[in-house]
Amino acid sequence: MTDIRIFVLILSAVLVGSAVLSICIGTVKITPQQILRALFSGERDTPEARIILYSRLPRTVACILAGAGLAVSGAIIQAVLANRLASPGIIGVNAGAGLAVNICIAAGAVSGWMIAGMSFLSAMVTVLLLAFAAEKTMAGKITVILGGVAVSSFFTAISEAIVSVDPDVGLMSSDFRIGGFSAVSSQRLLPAGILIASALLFAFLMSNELDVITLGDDTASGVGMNVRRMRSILLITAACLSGASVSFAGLLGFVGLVVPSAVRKFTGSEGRIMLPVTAVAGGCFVTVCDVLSRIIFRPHEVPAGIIISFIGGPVFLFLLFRDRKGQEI
Amino acid sequence: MIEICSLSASYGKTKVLSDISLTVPNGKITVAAGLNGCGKTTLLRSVAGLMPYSGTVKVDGTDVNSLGRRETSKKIAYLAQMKTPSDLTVFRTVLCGRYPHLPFPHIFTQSDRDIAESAVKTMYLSDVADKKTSQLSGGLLQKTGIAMILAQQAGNILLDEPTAFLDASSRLRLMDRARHMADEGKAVLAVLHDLPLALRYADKVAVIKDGSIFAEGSPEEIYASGIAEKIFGVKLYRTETDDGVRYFY
Repeated sequence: MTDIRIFVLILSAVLVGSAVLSICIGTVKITPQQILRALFSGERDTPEARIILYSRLPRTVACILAGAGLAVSGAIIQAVLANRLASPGIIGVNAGAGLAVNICIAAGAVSGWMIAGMSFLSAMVTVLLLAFAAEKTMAGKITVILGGVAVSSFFTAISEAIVSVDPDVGLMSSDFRIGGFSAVSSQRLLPAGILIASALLFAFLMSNELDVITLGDDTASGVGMNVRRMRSILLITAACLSGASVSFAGLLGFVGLVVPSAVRKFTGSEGRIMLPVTAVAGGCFVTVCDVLSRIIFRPHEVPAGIIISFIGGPVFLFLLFRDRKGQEI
Repeated sequence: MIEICSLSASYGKTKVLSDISLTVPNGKITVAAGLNGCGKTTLLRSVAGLMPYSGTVKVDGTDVNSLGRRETSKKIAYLAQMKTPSDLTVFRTVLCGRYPHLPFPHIFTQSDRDIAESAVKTMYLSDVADKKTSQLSGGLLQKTGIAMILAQQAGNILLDEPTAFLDASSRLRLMDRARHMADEGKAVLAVLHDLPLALRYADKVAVIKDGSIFAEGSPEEIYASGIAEKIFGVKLYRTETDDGVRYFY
């Protein structure tokens, strides 16, 4: 059995295990049998079944969707901008989506579709503006990253200004700024989930295009790709994934940065393998972190974003410096 | 066959090519030679449809501007001067040469894989087929680019400095490969810095100076005219073996 298959098998097992654990743990303990009964036997009126169906299951699905969405978004952005340091969190895409969420909350437009849609639009405008500016100025990799950091700071400043002026927004968005799943509801999750699932499917279909675009503009054009149009399509897909994820999970950092880099070590960069595995690994990573966020400080719970940063930061540093040997990223 | 008629091209307000007319016949190697910055690469990029130009470029009798990007790439394969190494493997990179032939949703078939495999073998890349192109030397990266355009199976080939980064024997092998492509009936237009190599392998040479064609003719004509020496500022010599192979140095 090849290394990739073993890696995928392990990831899948961890994903299933962490998802079951995510549904089981909490103030009310749930057994795997109760999960099966609630899901498949129609026994939905018991308190445990209600907890599973209306609280734990949406939260677990939210973890998987947000992880898959942010990780694949990061993989696409890294490939299109030819920059391993790029991710939706670093280049300001998440901050743009977060700003849209705060504006929606301040304006009282709190429907799931409105928040998911505005997050997507805001993320899309951010990523396209950055890509356009990078192309026009022929900016180098580090310049793009620094530009993204500046954009991210700018959007965060506006978000903070909104929170300062309207403290109610702050109350509603404190979890949001760190990132977490304690307040996820089906109403908020459904529209974003549809967007993420559609964008993931589309991204998998575009995996060959992603490979071709990594060959450089002239070579990709030389084999028949309309590079400018394809770059926009792929970045819009990435924006859809990260914007929709941010709309219910908040500003989770590191997922779009660490997961694609780690997965590439095992799968290589071929899109048709790397993208689906990245989706599974992203879902797996976020679900495990969310479970840990509920276990580590029991009976208290910390936002999953904190655990993700605790793990993601050192892992990213490890990936950054291991095997680098003076090479540019 | 590629027919270039009154082609002019600019980068912003800077005019790079002016009124270039050149025919690249099937079965021949045509070399565009000239000093750095004279517009050779711009000529190839214009013909490949990668940048706007005025004038006409016809490929196999069809105006390139009337073709879509994908249709153009079925007819013209372009080996770019600056190749970007990626984390894709050599085989996967070569397989990307099949991209213009893929119907939606652009999934590679077994036939595409067989063609790519054959191109990898032709360029003696089988040993490094599973290596990432970012791990290759400049020469192997260049060979991977050639294998990719072989997989593209276009009838017209544009080579921008194909011998850059190659050692002496690899340069000759690569130009032999270009000769082989021409012998198969393809029209080959190459940009070369190496003037002796250009004169040795070309069937026709177009000397470009300041964005215009300064002289055009067979290698013998270009050599005899002394134009190359005037443009490049170097003395050229010619010798011929008993079996008729000519060398310039």
